[in-house]
Amino acid sequence: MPKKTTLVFGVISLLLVVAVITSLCAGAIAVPPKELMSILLHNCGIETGIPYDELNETVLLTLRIPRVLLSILVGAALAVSGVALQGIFRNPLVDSGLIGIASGASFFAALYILLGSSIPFLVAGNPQITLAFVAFIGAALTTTLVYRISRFRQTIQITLLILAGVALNAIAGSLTGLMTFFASETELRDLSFWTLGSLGGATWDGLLILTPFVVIPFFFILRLGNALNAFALGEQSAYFLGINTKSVKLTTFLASTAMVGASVSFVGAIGFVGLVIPHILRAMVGPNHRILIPLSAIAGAALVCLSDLISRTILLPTEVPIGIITALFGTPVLLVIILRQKKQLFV
Amino acid sequence: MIDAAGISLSIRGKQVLKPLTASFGKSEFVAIIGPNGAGKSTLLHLLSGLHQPSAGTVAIHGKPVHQWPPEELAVVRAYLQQHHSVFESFTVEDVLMMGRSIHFNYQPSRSDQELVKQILGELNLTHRKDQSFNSLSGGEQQRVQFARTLLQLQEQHTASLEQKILFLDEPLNNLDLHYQYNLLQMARNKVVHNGGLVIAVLHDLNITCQFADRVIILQDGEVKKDAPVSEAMDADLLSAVYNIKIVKKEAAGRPYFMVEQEPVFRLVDASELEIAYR
Repeated sequence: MPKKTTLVFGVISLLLVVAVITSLCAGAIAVPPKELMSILLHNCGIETGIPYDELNETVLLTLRIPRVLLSILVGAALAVSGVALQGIFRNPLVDSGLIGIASGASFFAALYILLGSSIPFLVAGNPQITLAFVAFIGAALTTTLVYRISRFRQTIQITLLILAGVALNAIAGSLTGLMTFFASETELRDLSFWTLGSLGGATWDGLLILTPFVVIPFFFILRLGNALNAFALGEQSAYFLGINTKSVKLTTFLASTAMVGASVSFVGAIGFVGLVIPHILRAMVGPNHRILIPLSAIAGAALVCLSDLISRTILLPTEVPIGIITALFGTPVLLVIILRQKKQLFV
Repeated sequence: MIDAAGISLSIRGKQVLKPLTASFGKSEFVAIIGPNGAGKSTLLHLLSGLHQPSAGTVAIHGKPVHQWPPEELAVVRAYLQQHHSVFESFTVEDVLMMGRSIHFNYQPSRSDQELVKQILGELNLTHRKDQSFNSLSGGEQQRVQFARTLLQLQEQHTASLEQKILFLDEPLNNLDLHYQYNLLQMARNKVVHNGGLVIAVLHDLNITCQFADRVIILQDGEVKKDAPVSEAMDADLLSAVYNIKIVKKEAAGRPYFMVEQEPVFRLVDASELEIAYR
């Protein structure tokens, strides 16, 4: 690995550690770093003798730690799915939010919450696992649809891709919105949860369910580094280079949509993470997917952790939806990508 | 090495390639020529396993091509495509190393790096090594992609390319005169002389005469001729196929072809103009 790559790995990992510690300490109830250490060690069976507030311990154990862990999972999922889908679509504009994948997942999730009680079918006998699974199906369907629409003569047309994204976002968004007005408060959360996301609902039980939905697909995608590099030359060239293109596409679609779909069912649609992270990392370490994929996981986790920290501390005691924060980071990057593509569009 | 038995291709009821049977052996340079839309690239797609024929079978080394796992087929067969676009800023060296990717597991070995370095030198592209592929000129991109296909076929410890097949789809696109010859010379020297098979779609009749051992002439999806170069390159046949008067000449003991036609832009004499405007 080149020195620069190692350095970037180090710096971003450090950033994640700082983000996690700050997130654990800061909030409506501030926990001093000393107490944080003491509480964490106490729960690992090591006594430091540093006194701490019982309330702080409860806040940490039931609210903040699950929330930070959730942000790590969701961030990694969004960024890794972004990098993998961009590799398959061969376009840096592919983000689960931008091309409608997250809206598709939201729509299916909302539909299940509304109608689920009348459908006697449960995956693994657990309604929340079923919800994650249904959202995954929604995400997979939208991805396939967008891929089919934007593919023309063996290549993905950017214009078709973006327009398909606009259309799917609009239809899934309006249907989800309609449902939130049909449903009672307790059934379905409000529209802003589905369109802008929130990590407020983090629980240990939820984490337990989301973890396999993110970790298992992650390892599948991690193994596709070389294949995605070959895809950069075009799908046909990848085939001639010995890549089983159908299986790579299927694995990528299933793995990324499982990650995004399950995440959306827990935190709603958080946009731009899958767009910003791969773009910045490519500028730093180059386009090699073998490096980009693991690095995206760390960087995505750091970004969502930090965004969540900002979203819940910037306007205390209220919480700003996290999607607003990620959009603030994301839209300038989106503009940069568009300007860079301008050249290619008008050749 | 390749046996095509009665292969044909129909797309939406229209037969774009009529039934064709042909065998291709080692140390052979086969040129496929014919007018635009004759089915040259289609034939290459079928022979290389990219597409499956509607009828008939293609076998490579005796095994039907669609039964080969892609990663095993890639060791014996490489393909230079007509169009190249690379996603993101992969460098020239990255693109070349992708040609080696079936030969290493995770990291390229020292000998992979040696081979890449060597071919960069042979193609006069060493100074472009760290540039992004997309920033190269069309001709340079073509040379890099050609080098990538050679690297894909190259075994670690032997120059022999026996059992290996190289498909070239219009390999001379964007190349200047020097590199047109240079590229085909390399294909001959490296592949054909080492026991391999080259099947190339070409447009230039004189270049075809100079480099091919055997020529397949296609017209409207049909094989008009499949014969050794001296027999296939017949002026009357070519004139009929290309729908333009082609004559065969000879210079320095070698045949060459030229188009014999009334110049399109001729000086019009005044009396004709007068008639035209009257």
